[in-house]
Amino acid sequence: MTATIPRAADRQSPAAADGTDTPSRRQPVGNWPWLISAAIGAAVIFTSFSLNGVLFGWGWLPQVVFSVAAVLAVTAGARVLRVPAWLIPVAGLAALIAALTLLFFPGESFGGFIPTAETVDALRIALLEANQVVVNQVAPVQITDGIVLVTCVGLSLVALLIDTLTATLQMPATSGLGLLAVLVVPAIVKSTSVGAAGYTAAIVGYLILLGSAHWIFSRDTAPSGGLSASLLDRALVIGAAALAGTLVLPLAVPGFTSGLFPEGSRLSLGTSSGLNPMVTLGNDLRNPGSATRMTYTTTSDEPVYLRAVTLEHFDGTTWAPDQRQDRRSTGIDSLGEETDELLEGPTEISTTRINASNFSSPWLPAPYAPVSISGLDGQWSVDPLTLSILGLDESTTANQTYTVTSATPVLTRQTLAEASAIPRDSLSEPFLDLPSEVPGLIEETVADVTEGITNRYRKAMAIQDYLRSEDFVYSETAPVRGGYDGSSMDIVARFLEEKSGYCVHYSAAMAVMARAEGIPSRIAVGYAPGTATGETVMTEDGVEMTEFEVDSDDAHAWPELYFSGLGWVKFEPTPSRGVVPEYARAPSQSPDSAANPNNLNPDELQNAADEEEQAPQDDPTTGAGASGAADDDGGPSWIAVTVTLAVALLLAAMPYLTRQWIIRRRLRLIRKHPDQAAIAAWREINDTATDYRLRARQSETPRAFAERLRDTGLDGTGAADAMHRLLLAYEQTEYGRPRPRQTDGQGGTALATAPRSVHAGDVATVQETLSRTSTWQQRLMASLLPASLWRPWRRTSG
Amino acid sequence: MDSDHRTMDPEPVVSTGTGDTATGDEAAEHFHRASGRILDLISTVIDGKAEAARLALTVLLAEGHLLLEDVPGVGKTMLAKTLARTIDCSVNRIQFTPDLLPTDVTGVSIFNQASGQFEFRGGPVFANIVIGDEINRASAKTQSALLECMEEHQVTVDGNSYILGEPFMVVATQNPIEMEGTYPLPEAQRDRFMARISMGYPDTEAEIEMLQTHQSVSPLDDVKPVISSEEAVAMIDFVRNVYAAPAVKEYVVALGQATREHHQLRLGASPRALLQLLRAAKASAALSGRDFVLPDDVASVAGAVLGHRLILDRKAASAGESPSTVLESILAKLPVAPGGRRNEQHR
Repeated sequence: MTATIPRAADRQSPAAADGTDTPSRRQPVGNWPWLISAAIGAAVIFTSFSLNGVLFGWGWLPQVVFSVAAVLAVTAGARVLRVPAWLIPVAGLAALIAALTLLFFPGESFGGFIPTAETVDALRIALLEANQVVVNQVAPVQITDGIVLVTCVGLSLVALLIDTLTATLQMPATSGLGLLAVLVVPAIVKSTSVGAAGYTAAIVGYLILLGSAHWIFSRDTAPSGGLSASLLDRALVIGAAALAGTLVLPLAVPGFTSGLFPEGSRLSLGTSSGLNPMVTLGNDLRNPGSATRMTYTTTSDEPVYLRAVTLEHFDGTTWAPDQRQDRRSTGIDSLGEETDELLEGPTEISTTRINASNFSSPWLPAPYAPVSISGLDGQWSVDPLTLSILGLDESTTANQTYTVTSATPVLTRQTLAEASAIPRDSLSEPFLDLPSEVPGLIEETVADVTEGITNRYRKAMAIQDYLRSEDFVYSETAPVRGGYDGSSMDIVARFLEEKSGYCVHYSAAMAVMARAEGIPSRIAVGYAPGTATGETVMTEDGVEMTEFEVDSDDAHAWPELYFSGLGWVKFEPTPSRGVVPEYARAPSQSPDSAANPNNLNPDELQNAADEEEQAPQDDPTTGAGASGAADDDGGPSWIAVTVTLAVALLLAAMPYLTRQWIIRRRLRLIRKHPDQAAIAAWREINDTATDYRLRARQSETPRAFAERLRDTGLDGTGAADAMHRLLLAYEQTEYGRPRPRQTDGQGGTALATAPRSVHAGDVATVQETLSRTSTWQQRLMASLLPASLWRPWRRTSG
Repeated sequence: MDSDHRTMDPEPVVSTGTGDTATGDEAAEHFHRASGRILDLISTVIDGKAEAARLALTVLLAEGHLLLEDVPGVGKTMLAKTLARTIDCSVNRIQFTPDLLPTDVTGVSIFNQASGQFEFRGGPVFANIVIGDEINRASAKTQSALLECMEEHQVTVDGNSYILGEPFMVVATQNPIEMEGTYPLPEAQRDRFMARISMGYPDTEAEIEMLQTHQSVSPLDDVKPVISSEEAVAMIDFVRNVYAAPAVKEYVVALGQATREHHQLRLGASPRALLQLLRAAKASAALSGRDFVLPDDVASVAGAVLGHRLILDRKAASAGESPSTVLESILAKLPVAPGGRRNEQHR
C-alpha cells in the first residue's frame, strides 16, 4: 500500500514533531471531527439498510440511528475537546451504553440512562428473547426489543470501530472492513437479502466516508479535492474484498451446503438444539453428511415414528410448540394416567429402547403415545394435552438411553370413519386456530379437494391424497430457491401454488387445510422410522426387538389430526417420506407403493429407506454442488455469527493493518528522528519491494538492489531520483564513518560527514511507483498479505 | 623529469578523518579533481580502456603493485607508461630478459678509487614508478630481487639497506605463460602484486580511432604530468583514511573464507590478499567520491585483486572454469552484512 494521510497533529503543528509543546499545538481543531462523525454515521446507516433483508420492516431503524448518532457525537465531541486518542473509544463505548439504557431500559436504570444491576438483568432477558427469536424464526425475523437491541449494539460497535480507524488512525479506506462486517451478516443469514439496493447503499455510504475523510485530512496539502490514486486503490481493493466476502464467505462457512448462493440454509453453531425443531428441520434434510443421530430397538411391528414435539400454536407466521408452561405437569410418573385420558380406543402396547447418543434436544423423542418411561436422567415435564416431554433445568437427551412403553391406538378405516361422526369436544382449542385472513388460494384448494365429502376422515384422506398426488414434487431445495421456506400461511399458499417442497410444507399445508375444514390438527416434529440395521436384540422377557438407526436425514414433520374417541391420528402427506399408515392409505392404493407397515422385514424397510434417499436425488434441483457441512443440531445464534465474523474479519485484516502500522511508524520516525530516518526509509523500501515480490536478495548490496528496482520500472520516473537519494542516505548511515555522539549543544564534535536528509516524500514516491508498475494481483496481495510481514527485515539478526 | 609542471596547489592535503568537516570536504574535492585529471589524460592516450585505467590508478593509490597480463601488443606498456607520466615523478623502465642479473635491477656497489670506498650505485628500481616489461622472461633470481623491493620498499645490497622513495609502484607486464621463453611467476610472487589486469583487445571503434590518431605521432609525447608527486602522496594518504565499516571488513573476510572453502579452488585468498583487497576497495571508494567503503567497492575490485591468486583444482580447470567465474559465483551468493550502527536505536 502506498502513502498514508499525514497525521492531523503533524499537519497542524510541525513544531510538535520535536515533542515540544509549542503554542501552535493549541490552535483550534475546527469542525472536522463533526464532519467525519457525520460521514461515518451516514456510511453505517446506509450500510445497515441491507439488514432489511433479515429484519422485518423498518421499525428498528430509529433506534439504530439514535444509538449510532450518540456514539459518534460523543467521539466527535471528545476530539474537539482534545481528549487523548486512546480515551475516545472508551467515551464512545460509554455513550453507547448510556444510549442503549435510555432506549431500552429507562425503567431499570438510574436517571434513565445510567445502568444499574437491574439493567443487567433486563439486558439478560432481552438477549435471551433475541436468541429465542433467532432460533424460532426464519429470516426476516419479527423485530422485538431484543433483536433491535442486538442490532443497535452491533452497528454502534461497527461505527465506533470505523471511527477509530478513520479519525484516530486516519486510515479511512480500511473502514470498508467494518461496513463489510455489516453486509456479511444478512448475506450469511439469508443469501438473497443483500440485494443490489443494499450494496448500492453501502457503497454510497462508503464513498461519502472516503470523500469526506480525504477532503478533511488533505485539504491543507492537496490542491484539489479529488480522491488520490492511492486512496482509490485501497477503496477498490476493499470494495472487491467486500463483494467477494459477502458472496463467497457463506460458501466457506459450515452450514452452507450448495450452489453459488447458499440455499437459505442457516448457520448454526454448536450442538445445542433449538426450541423449535421446525426451523432446523430443513437444514437436517439438506445436510449431505447424514450423521447417525440415534439408534433404537423396538418390539413394535409397526414402524415407529419418534415424536419429539408437536406444534399446534399457529399465528399465521410460525408454528410453535405449546406455550402452556403452567399446565405442564412436572415429572413423568403420572404419564400413564394422562395417556389413558387421551387414548379412547383399543391400543397395542410396545416397548422401545432409545439410545439418543449425541442427539441433544430438550424435547424427548418417543413413540406416541408414551405410557411410561424409564432410565431417564434429569427433570422432565409432560404436557397433558400433547404428551410432549420437555426437559427442565436444561435436561437434554444427550447421551441418554431410555425405554419407552407406548400405547399405539389400533386404527382402521372403519373406526376412523365412525369416529368422524362424533362431535368435537373441548380439546379443539388451540388446535383449530387459524388467522383471521386465510389466503384465497388455500380456501379454494380446500373447497376443491373436499367438495362433496362430509365425513371428516374422508376429508382428511382427500387432503392427503391431493398432497401425495403426482402434481406435487418432493424437493428440499426448491422452496429455498423460490424463497418460500418456512411454514407460515403465505408460504403454505405459495407451496400449494408451486407444488414443490418438503415435509415442513406438506405437513403445514395439511394441518392448515384440516383446520380450515374444522378438523383439529397439529404438526408433529421428530424422526421417521429410520433404517433397520438388521440386528435384533432379545429383551429380558424373551421378546425380539429390531434395531433401527435414525440419522439427520430422517428428520421429519407430519400432521396429526384429532378424532374424538380415537385421539390424535397420524397422517403422511409427504411423498416418499416415512410410512403411510394402513388406515391412511387409499383403498385403491397398491400395497407396493409404500412399505408394508405390517412387515418389519429389515430388507423391505431398507428399500423404503433407499427410496427416501433417492427421492431427493431424483429431483434435479437437489444434491448439486453439495459441499461439506457441519452437522447442525441446534438453532443458529446471530450473536455468535456476528462475533465470529467480526473476529474472522479482524484476523483477515490483521496483516494489512499490521503493515499499515509499520509504515506509519516508520514515516513518523523519518519525520521526527533524522538520525534514524535513512535506515527506517531503507527498511520501508525493502519491505515494499518484498510486498511486490521484488525482495532484496541476501547477496545483493543496497546499490545493486536499488539498480534492480530501477530497472524493473522506476527508470525514467521521479522515483528513480528519489530512490537514489534514499540509497545515498542509507549507505552514508550504514557504511559511513560513525559520528561521534554530541556531548552538548555547542561543544560537540562535528560530524565526519553531514548526514543526508531523508524525506518521507521520497519513500512515498518510490512506493507509489512500485505500486503503479505492478499488476493488480500483486497490488492485492501486497495489500492483503504483505510478504514483508512473513520475511522480516533480513538484517535484524545483529 | 619536468619538475616545473606543477600547476596545482602544492600543499599536500591531508584528511585526518577526525578533522573538521571543511578540511575533509576540501581534501575530498582535491582528490576528486586530481583523479579526474589523471583518468582524462589516460583516456586521451589509450582508447576504450577506461576500466583498466581506473583499476591501474586504484592500485597506485592503494600503494600496491600492478601486474598487466596479456598478449603482446595490446597496450600494456603504453598504459604503464601513461600512468607513470601523469604524475610528476621519476619513472624507470626495465626490460626483462633471461640474462638480466639481480644487480641490474637493484644496483651495485662499486669501489670508488678516489675515496677508497665502495659506493652504491642505485639501479633502475630507484624510481617512483618502475615499469618492468615482460617480467616473466627474467630468471627466477632476478624476479625475486625485484619482488623483495616491492614488498619491503627497500633494497639490500652487501648488507646495506637503501630505502626507496614514495610513492613507489611497480607496474609489471607479462605475456601469458604459454608463450615461448617465459618463466612463470610462482604463486608466492604473484601474491605480491595487488592486482592483475588483463587489457584485452580494444573494440572496433577504439581500434579504428587508434589507427587514425596514432599513425604519425606517439600520443605519449604529448603527455605532461597533471599532478605532483606530493599530491600523489596526499592522495594516497586520503585513501588510507577512507573509512571501512566493520561490516565491510566482515564482508572482505567472508569473501576470503569463501574462496578458501570453495570446492573448485585449490588455493584461496591469503590474508595478505585480503589486506590488499580492502586497500584497493578504499581507493576505489575514494575514486567514486566517497570517504567510506561500500561492499560494492569490494566486489568491484575483487576480480582484479584476487583473480591471479586463486588456483583452480584440476577438475574445475579441465571443466573450463576460470578463477574469475568462480569468484563471480561466490560473490553472487555471499550475504551482504549491514552497516555498523544497526543495533543502536532500531529493533
